[in-house]
Amino acid sequence: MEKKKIYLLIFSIIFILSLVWEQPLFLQTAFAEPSVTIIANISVQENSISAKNLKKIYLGKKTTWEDKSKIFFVICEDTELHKSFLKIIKKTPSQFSNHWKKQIFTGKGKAPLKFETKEALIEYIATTDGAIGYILGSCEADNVKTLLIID
Amino acid sequence: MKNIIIFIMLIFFIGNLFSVASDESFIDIHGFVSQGYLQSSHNNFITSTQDGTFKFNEIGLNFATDLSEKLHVGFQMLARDLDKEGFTPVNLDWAYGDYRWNDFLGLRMGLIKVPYGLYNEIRDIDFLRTNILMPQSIYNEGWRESVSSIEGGGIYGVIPLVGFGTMNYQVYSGLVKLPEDGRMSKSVTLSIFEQDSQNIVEKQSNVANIQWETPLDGLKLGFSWLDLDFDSSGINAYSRKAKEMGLTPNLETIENEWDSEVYTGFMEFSWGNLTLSAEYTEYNYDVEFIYHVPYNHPQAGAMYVPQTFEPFTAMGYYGSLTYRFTNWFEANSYYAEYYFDKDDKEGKRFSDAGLEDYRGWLKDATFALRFDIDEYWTLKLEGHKMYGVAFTFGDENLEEDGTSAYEEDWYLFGAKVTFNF
Repeated sequence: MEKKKIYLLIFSIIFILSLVWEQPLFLQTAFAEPSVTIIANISVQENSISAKNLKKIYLGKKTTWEDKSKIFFVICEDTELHKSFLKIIKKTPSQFSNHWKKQIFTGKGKAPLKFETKEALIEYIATTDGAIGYILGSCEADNVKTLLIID
Repeated sequence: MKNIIIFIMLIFFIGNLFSVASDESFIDIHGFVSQGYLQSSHNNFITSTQDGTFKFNEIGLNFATDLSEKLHVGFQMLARDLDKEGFTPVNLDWAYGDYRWNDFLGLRMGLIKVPYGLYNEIRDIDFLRTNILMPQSIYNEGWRESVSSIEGGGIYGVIPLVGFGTMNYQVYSGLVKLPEDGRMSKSVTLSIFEQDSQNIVEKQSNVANIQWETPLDGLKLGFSWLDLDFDSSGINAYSRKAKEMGLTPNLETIENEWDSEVYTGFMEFSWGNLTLSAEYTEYNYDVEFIYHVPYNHPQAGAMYVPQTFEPFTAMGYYGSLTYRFTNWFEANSYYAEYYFDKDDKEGKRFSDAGLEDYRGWLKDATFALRFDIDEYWTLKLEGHKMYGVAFTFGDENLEEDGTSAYEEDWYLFGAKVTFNF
């Protein structure tokens, strides 16, 4: 058999196996999304934020609040929570990851700060002026406020 | 080679270290190592692909930090091997200071990635795309080393267009290095002048990239302009041979002034797991020759005879479709066409010179698969169906008797594995 036919056969087998190995994303049933709450340090003057501005912040295109103070945004390692948050800013996990890898490997930015637990993330938000993050459920911590998401 | 092994070990060591290190490190350290394989059914493309080659790899390591809320600095070292014997030395890929005044205006100074088209800045960052070889009609692999970085400075920013999305811009000016042993230099030397030595002096170059993120979520439109100017000079091969034989050549040296401009229009549309992209580019070449004739030659009266080569425009475009099927599996397909002279799509320029007309174009239909094994490892496979041999070199595609070994219709297969952290 010619080499090109062997390559074509290998490609076809790998492609088909890849499709049946795991249910494709477009066939996966949508489950109830975890409720995402946007929280910020008490120093942040805004009480609400639009999804568009949230997207700009998390893509590094908006770096200051309205009062010109620096924005420090953080992400959470919880995969399901992270995915739910990314739906608000209309990005898939791979798109978000690739966006930041592009910034890192072209020298345009540092990777977003990531926290493993809700407690650690809330502590950072509470102690950092201008910080913003997202959690599951509500937050009663001192120095932390909830931002309402508006369209 | 020993240095490269140490460099690779350093990357894996630091990668391992950082998988357990705190995210709040003062200095961010990231890196990647990739190893690829290329094989073609006919025609050596960039490297010795006909026999199959593993000389296709990249290693990068970068360091970055925020010195203040507005000042970000960093650099990346890169070693790359594609068409040369052994590894290329470890080079500085980018190194610059970035002062972000506000979101609308920032200043970058140093060695900066050239923002040409949609993806030139990330052409070395293999794991950020699905395909292994980017569409050659826009991102010719042979020119990579010459359009990778610009040494100078410029401005960038994001301008909100109330109700009409946002505009991202980057404008830089400086020197774009053309390595004398690079494939672009070889193109200059071989394609027109029959020169057998080359001296290239880079001149001020400029690049601008404007991207409009439209109100339609996921749709991005843009335009880039790259002005690449340089002078080259060399000794004509026949003149050198004549001198070696004790004869007076009728031509001693040739000086060339190159003024090339690359205009690219592009679009990208992301909708969920689907990404569509397309780019169209025109390469305008305007070259002036100055022939140096020896004093004792009958034609010596015309010591400098400036001539202008008829300017010509090459063109290329592609359309690409990428879809992520699962969290770890993605596929891409693109179709690309390139013409050496957009006004001569039949390759008459070549057939008139007794060469194959298909040297004037490259048509490439590609299908690529990407597997994200985990957060750090990526495996990619791809196949190309090619027509034409533009971007290859005749002297790398010869039969044993010295005649052309070109085939118009051929295949290229690629595989690549990358580790990044």
